[in-house]
Amino acid sequence: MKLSSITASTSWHTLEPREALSSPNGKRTIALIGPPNSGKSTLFNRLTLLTQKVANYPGVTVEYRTGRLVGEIGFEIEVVDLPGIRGLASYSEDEEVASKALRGKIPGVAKPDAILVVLDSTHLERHLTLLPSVLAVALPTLVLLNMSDELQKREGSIDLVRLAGTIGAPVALVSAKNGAGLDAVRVFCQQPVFPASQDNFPILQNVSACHKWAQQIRKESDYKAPVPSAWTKRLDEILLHVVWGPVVFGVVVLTVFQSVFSIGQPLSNHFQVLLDAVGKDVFQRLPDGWLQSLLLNGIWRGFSSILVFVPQILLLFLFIAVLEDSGYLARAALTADRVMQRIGLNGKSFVPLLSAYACAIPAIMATRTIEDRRDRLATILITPFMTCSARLPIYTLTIAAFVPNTKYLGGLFGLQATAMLCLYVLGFLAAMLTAFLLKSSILKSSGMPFSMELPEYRMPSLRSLAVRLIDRCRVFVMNAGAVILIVAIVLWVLTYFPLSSGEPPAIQDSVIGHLGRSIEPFIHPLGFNWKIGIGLFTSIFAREVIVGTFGTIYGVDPETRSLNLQEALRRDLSPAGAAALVVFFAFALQCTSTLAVVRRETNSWKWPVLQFLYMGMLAFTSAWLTNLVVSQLSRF
Amino acid sequence: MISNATPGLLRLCEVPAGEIAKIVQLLLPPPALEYVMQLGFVPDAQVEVVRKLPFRGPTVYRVQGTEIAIRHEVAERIQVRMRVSQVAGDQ
Repeated sequence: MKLSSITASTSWHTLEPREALSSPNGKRTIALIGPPNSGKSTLFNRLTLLTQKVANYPGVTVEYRTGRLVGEIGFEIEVVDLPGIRGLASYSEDEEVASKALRGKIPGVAKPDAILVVLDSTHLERHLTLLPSVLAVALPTLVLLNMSDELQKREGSIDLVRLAGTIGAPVALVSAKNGAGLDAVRVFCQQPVFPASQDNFPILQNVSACHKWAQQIRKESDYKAPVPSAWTKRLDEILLHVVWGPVVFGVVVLTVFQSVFSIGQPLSNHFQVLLDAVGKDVFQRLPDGWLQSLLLNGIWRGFSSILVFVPQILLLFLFIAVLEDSGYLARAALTADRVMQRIGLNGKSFVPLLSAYACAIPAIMATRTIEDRRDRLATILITPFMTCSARLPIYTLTIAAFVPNTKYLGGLFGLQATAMLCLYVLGFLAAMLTAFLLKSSILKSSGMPFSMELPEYRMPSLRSLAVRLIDRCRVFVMNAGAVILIVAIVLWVLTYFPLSSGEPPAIQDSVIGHLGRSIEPFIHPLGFNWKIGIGLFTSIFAREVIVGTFGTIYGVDPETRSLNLQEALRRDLSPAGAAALVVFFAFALQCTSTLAVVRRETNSWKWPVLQFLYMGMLAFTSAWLTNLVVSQLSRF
Repeated sequence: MISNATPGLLRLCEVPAGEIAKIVQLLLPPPALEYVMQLGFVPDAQVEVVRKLPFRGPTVYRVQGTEIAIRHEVAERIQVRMRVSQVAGDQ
């Protein structure tokens, strides 16, 4: 069959025309399955638009999405997007989950009535190897050969009728990118009765057999593979070049980093101002009292502390989505792999770690591109060590207060900038050390070697970018928001009580203030007094809060009221104590949003709790040692 | 360029860029073996060495029409035979 028949791919090849559709009882569940890089997610987004919900399978970190098939008539069709897999054996958590889900063996998840298999038509033979195990499940199956536009453009072709005949299942050529051929999905899903599936499909025992089968099918269906993209070859000659590859990599990485920092950060700051203004404007209409305070200082503040990350998340994910959809991310991971291998991780961890310099939250979400669960977990656990922008306020304040503004080499290097750089390096070293420890103990490699498929370069589609960005933000706000809200309310209660003659107390007399005072004996060895103690408590919420807390505490203290914050700090902290303070902040996980996101991404409280304790202990010990060493040194 | 004392056999990592080799056997432990085979590195498959990254970094291979990179340490454990006449086979 020639090209002309491919353009007519929307025509239905093997299903006979049926009578007018009647709605079957209840709703139908259709499972969507396919290998990685088959364009499955794009197809899912295209089929369900924004009706999707995200959930985790019980007990595992594997996430699944469900959505309603849009444009159907009469009854509801739920599409379940299963993880991208190459086979249905149980070599990975993903494969195990997909296999169980297809057989309806996951509690709380409906057994599918039919399966849509998505295969990349431009890599048909390799993608066909998934098919035998799916057909062996013996559910009605529609095979979708995706990327028809690409196949056609690069002069590939296939005989759909013969393919459908040999595999015994209907086949349609589609393009998730431009929507061509997708009517076939609706026709298939809406059939009153599914055609009986071929339940005597031979079960192929091993991978080799699947490959032989795929080769056979390819020959029988007259498949002509598309010519390799000339663009891809030309671009790779530069982007994977011994010299130019790393150069381009460096430029891309710096651009992403710099943008999240210099565009995302100000955006977030403006957004914060706007959110504060909106909160004040709305809630100050309420009468003064506990309700107003709870709504404004508790709930709204908690909610806006999450919302404020949205601009940075959007920006970072825009970059990552463009890099990923264009095909460059795979090359970047390859370029970074040799270096990341040294600490037991792989190239895919690089982008998340780099973005963590702006903010750990989008970075942790970006670890989704890492397929190996243990590598992903290790990356998530070390991410908060990278110096995020929330550490800058306390760093800047302390450095400005304690480090003289001496310049060297004609103003090129300053002592203050050097101090700041040291703190960045400190965080980085802690991350590397932790990665090394994790990868050689509890998160030892699963034995699955690193591999990276290099897709052809493509122009990212605006539509797919937009859907992904909206989806990411929604998931983030919904899931992290719930945790933050609880924490925000608890912190509010701690600062609002006990009431003195019906009024909320000054911060040092509140519960949290008393907590801060009560830990003074413990933090004394670190060189901190009770005021710093209160700051340590309030900054559990977010690191930057400590500066505001200092402002409040020193502002109400008659002795320090007239001083600015730097002078006030110098009265309370020795240089050794100040060094201990920044070291503490370099290591401690003072960010409830991060904890919420880690909880969400790992689907368990175990990891965020472990991470919080580990980083807290490291922070405490290092701050104590710093105070000890620096105060000894300053005697000389 | 002959390894493991088996005449005619090479390790995949020894095949220079631009050449095509045929996989003979994979000397990998079971989970890694199945995984690498799923990627298309099965006995009898033709593998083209597309590009080698510097410092013994990953190498890009073309298998079944797809470019896939694996690390040097894995390629070391894949035994291949190089064709005398470089015919691209039935692709």
